[in-house]
Amino acid sequence: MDLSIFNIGLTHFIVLATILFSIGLLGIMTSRNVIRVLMCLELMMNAVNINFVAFNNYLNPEILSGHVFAIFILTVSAAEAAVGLAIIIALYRQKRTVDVDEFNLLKL
Amino acid sequence: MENLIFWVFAAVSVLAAIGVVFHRSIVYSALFLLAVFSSIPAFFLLNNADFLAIAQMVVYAVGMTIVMLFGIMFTREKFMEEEPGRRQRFYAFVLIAGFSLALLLAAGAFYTQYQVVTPGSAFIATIQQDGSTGLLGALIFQKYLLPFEIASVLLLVAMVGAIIIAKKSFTEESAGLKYPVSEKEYINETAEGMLKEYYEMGRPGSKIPGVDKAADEPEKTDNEMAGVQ
Repeated sequence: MDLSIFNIGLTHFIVLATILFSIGLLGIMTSRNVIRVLMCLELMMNAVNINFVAFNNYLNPEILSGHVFAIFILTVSAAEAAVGLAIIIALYRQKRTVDVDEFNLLKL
Repeated sequence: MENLIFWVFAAVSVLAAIGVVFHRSIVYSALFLLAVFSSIPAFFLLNNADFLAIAQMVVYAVGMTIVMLFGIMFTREKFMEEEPGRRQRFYAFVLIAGFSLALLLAAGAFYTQYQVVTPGSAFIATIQQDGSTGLLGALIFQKYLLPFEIASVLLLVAMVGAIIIAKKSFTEESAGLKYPVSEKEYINETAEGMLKEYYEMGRPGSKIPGVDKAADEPEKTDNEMAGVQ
């Protein structure tokens, strides 16, 4: 019995990150609650982080540039979550709802 | 051992991610998100990224989940438990599209050949003794110093911006610089004005039970009034 697929390598991490990314994308497209959209966005960013770290470890292990990029993504996503939630709260004051379909202020 | 850790955490994170998307209650979604964020540091550790694993745990699993829960509490409504069956066709279409995208990307990743590099023994010794934090710090503060400073400015700007956006409104009135309306309307129509009037002038504008005696006592009938007289 060949167990080579169970021995983890770079491909495993990439496929896992792909699956997480696709689930996040699915959530962004289907969910009606803005906060859930924001959560799925965070999920996608995490998938990207896994990719950065895995590529760094397998392809260029002695220089940790991938880690630095992951830290920058961490920073940007924290800022994005703060501003996003603030916008959601301001929108909720205006419209009394968090349904994405209701936010059509920019519609002609 | 490594394999076991990977497969267990991969299963947990994928199942919890599916829970984030498909659970009816948004609060449970946030808790599933916590599960995803807590299992992702395992993959970082498997890739020798110890500092990043801890940072991920602190920023995402603790900070982000709490912020999300606050957002949910500020905007919670009953209807948001999504009702099924409203957009079935769109749902099915997106499900198929997402699944095929995942399949395509996964197949691409699976069939690509990578040139895996094994690190030198000196590097391995450093990582095993000191971890990656020192190397990472040297990299951030030398090669990537400018982006790092820009990122810190970004965090500051985001913080100030979030406070300003989430504030009710920033005007002279809210800052207490002047009366929002004319003084008469201020006293008669705002709760603050009514309280001020109540306590300063000792003349109740309305009957408040428990505070105002007139509201607690039952109204006297005409006969009682006559009897007293």
